[in-house]
Amino acid sequence: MKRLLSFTLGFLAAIGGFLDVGDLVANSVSGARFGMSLAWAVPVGVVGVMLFTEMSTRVTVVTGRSTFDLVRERLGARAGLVNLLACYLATLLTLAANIGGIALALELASSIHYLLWVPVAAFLSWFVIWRVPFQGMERTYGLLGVALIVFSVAVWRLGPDWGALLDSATSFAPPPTEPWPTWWFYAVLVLGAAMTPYTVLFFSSSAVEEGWTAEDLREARTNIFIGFPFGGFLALSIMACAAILLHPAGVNVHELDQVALPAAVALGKVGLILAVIGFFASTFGASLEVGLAAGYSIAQYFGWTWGKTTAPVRAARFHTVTLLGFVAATALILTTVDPIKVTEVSVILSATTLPLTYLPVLVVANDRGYLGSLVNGRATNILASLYLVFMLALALAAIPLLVFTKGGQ
Amino acid sequence: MEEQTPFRIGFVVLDRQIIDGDGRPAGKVDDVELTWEEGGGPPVMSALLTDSAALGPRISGRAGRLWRSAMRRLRPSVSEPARIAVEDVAAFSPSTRLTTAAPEQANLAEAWLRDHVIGRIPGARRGDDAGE
Repeated sequence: MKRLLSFTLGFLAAIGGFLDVGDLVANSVSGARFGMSLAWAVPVGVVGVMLFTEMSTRVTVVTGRSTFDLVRERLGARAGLVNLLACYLATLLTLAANIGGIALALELASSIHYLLWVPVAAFLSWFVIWRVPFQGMERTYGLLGVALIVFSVAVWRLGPDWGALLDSATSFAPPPTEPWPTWWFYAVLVLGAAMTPYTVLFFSSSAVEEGWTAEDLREARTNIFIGFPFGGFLALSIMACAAILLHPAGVNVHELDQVALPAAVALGKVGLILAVIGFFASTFGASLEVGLAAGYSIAQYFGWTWGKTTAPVRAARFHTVTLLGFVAATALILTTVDPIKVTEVSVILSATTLPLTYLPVLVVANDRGYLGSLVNGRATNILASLYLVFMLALALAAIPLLVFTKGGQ
Repeated sequence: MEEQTPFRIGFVVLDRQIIDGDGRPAGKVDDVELTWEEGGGPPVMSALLTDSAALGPRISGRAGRLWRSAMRRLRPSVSEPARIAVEDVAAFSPSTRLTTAAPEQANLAEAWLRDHVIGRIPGARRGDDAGE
């Protein structure tokens, strides 16, 4: 029974860990503009993130070596530093986006302007990292994040024309009124939101935080292989809600309350409340994970003691860097930039840094000197190599698409 | 005769995690010190350098110079990077394990931040495990 409970909690945490403000925005925006024609990007992204998260968790659990430790060892000081800076920048923007997301969710709940909530949101996230034990932290937001299932119920309650939805989902082309480059821009957005590098970094580092060993690998895999697809299912539900309700009405999603609108229309007040709880939990959870991931990456590169589970006085540099990350991200959001725009840019930037984190993971996962019999199988390698080529193409296309489509206008 | 595999400093030593005698992380091998023995002969690796300042020369070009000058300004009193004699190393790979404690100098930043920043925030002494 205890095992079952721990398993359930673990995979719930994986759902909550999968969804962040990037997923909420990307899926809703693209549903509203392109119907279900970008639905393919969600499963493609989920498989990619599962593949590489499992790989890096396996490497970390078996060798006790963390991701950026290996990045530096394999790439050397210089290329490793470039890699670190690019990833850190993307992670910091993602943190800013999620702090903005928490503040917007709190604005939805309270009608108090989000800028007033930003310092509160940032302080709360940092405080939870400072004081709340790791497992409790992970499980609480994971559990609350499941409130987003309200979007799946809403799809069903809205009573859509399932045939038309399926047609749209299998068309692999933008609606006639939309140009291809814009469609591809949003495809990168949905893919990038699903495959954010911080997920890989956080998940593998949390394996160390929770003291997992090779025996726990099965549980870790189950969490990833059940939790992430379920998170993807919720992401698809959000997209479908927008496709059913907002797309025919020609609504363009610019605000978080528009993302929640379908839940409110389909299920009334209860729907809205659940959506807001889900938004809060997923953005809050993400800001904890991203904030920690930012600290992990730097500490692992320089070889400092890191970890949320050790007393902060024993990991002073790690905690200082984490704290500074929160300060910088909060400052960025307080400049009154649009948090939704920050979210989109952070996802695009994450997409360009994907191959940087994923390539060293793939290389080490094939090293028998480290992993013995637990190295990648042939099927995993073929699939992972295909993904790496695909992600390289995404990375190269992301910034040009951002500029060319003027941020998807 | 036993075949000697070449010992590649770039692969086996540089950029590896250092673990001190107590099993705690103590930075990375940021550079190595080579010594030429008297009377000629090839250089010998005599020490590991661990210090973010030692990273400067390894990042070439403008970025490296920027790094070096920033490090000099941050800590004018310390001119040399922390040094670990090769004799204190128990194993190089996969991590560099030391038989001794890490040199004091490698922990300057950690100690300063602990005493002046992190240690002053309430609750800094408590970890996840009770009793810490």
